[in-house]
Amino acid sequence: MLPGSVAGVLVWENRWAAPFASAARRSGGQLIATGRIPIQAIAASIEAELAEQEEGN
Amino acid sequence: MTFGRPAEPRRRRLIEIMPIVGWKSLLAQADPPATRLVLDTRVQSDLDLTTLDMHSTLLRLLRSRDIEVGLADVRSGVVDAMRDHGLLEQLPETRIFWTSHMPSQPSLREVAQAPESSRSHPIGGIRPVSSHRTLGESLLGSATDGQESCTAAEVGGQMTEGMDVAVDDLGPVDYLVVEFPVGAANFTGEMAEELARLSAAGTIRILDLLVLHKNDDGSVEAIEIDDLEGVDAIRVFETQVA
Repeated sequence: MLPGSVAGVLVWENRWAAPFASAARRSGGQLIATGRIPIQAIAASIEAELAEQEEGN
Repeated sequence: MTFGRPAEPRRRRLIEIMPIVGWKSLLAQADPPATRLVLDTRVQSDLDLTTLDMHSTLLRLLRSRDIEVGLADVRSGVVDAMRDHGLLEQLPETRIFWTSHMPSQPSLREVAQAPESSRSHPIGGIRPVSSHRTLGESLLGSATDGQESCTAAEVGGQMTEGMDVAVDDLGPVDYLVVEFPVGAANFTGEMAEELARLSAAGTIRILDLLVLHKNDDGSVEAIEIDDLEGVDAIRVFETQVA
């Protein structure tokens, strides 16, 4: 942050996930991995795929 | 079982559906449901292969939903490219409206001033046209007093940048992996129901759903669930794993 600038910080709970997590637990499941896929990675892989398709044509 | 580098099938799947997700999402929001769609190709003098592939995918999607498609403000290079790519078989010539410099055809301005059925719509890009009018009538219909309409130009934007739109429309994309240890699995369909509820409520949009199976030799099989965007797809999931 630059001196003099202001920032807001937001921390949130993904409330939607709680019922699903409960359902998963009741079904015998356990969370073993979670994470975020960067949007840039998605865009890049789409482009790569399209380029691949183009080469194929 | 660990989540390492995504398996190739998963990557391909995500890639295949990304533009479609954007289009399906727009179609799902259309109220009343879209019966016809006009693509403005004004900004294009030609179509490259990538764009043609995207058009082809979109045309298939629309045809599968019985949505009629027309092209507005078309240049000859666009039609030539589409013809060479076999797309015109899906799009009759009577649904192609040439650029405004060809006197007998509607200009984009006329298209934009189409009658009440095309009034400003909450979603950009999909312009519902009431079913008792032909596309041509809609395009050529008398202008009403300066109504703002969701113009075909916006549709053009969706088309030419369909991929970008889909990506731009995405919220943060997260993944999770839930393991069901041998003997612990007790599938009741409850998880699928919860996912269906969240998906139907618009809380989440399911982009991909895989069932992984790790064999005794350590190899991992990935089973794709087809077409995951929607409740029906979740039911497929439920049926397969329950």
